[in-house]
Amino acid sequence: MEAETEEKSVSILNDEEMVTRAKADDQKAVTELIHRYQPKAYAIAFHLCSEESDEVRDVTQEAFLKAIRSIKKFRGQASFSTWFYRIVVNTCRDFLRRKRKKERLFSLWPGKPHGNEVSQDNSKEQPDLKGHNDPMAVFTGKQLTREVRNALRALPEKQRVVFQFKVLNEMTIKEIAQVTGSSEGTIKSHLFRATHSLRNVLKDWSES
Amino acid sequence: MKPCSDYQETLLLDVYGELNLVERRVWENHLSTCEHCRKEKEQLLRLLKTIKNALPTPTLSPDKIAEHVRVIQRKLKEEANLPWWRKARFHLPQRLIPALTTACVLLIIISWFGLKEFKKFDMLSTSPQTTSEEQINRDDLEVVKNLEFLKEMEDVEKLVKHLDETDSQSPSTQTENNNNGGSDDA
Repeated sequence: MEAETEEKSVSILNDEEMVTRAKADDQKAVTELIHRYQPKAYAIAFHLCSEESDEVRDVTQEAFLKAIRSIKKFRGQASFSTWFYRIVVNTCRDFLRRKRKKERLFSLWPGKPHGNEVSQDNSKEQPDLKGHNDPMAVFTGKQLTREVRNALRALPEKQRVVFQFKVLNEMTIKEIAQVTGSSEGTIKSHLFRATHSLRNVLKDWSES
Repeated sequence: MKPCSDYQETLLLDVYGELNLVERRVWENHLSTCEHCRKEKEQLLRLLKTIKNALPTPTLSPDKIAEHVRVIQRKLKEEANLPWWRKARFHLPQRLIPALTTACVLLIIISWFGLKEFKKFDMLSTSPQTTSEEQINRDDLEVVKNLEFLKEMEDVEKLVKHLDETDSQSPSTQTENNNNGGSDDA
């Protein structure tokens, strides 16, 4: 009963208090922080570096481990969320770098498929008939997903990252600027350019 | 159809929900009079909705979240039990690890070859050839030091030789003398 009350009291604490407790090796505060930020970290990693659930899980876990290991170095100049999302973004970048290296290495191996081809396209394009009865709708949905994904991939990396943060992760321009370490003006510029490019590429879909 | 050029940025900020109250009021006044901008806004909102629907953000079930939390906690506990030198690697920037490893390997290789070269040099200085040369030098020094003695030895040898020669000649002379003496006496 007492433990339950304590858990409840931890969960109503704000980030700042929770971080102070976590710095003092309070395991309940650490657990609560993980619970609180897990969905958002997972979503960022999902859109930023991979759509394979195992890879996303690994990246998210690595980001949490990094954050908890270095939580004593967090001085509170930015909010905890900004600091943590920056760790997630850097972990994603490291992961992508490692993945690209691995793919380059395996591409030298004859007969081995590229990681991207298998993981990102083929598996996602199989029609999922469970939720929809109309095969046409399913087909259209799959085609749309493929086109949107291709359009996003065609964007320069900075524009793509900013757009994903804004639209898919629903972050504010100020947050994105803090997480990426750029000015708000730069973020706006990337976001607007990405919007124009996507609008041109996906004109047929957005006008219908 | 294009939006008014003065309001292009405002339009995008509105679509992304980034307008402040004052900006919003001015923008809404403009929207009520400008059909172009209204249509443009609708189109952009539709585009964003399309993209969001096409790439939905996954949601984690509470069970999945609990499982992730358990895995992270287990890893943290395992790390806590590691010795300090293994924990240290977590605080090194990951990107530096391959570079540091390469530097260490290079250092070992260079040290290895350096040590080998040093040994070779050391062996050269104590090689048999050098020893014989040194031996020769040592012999010369010995000769120089005992030059006087050797000269004396040479003199002694000459003297002995001379005496020997004299000894070998003296018995015949003595017999000759004896013969001459005998005849004289007779």
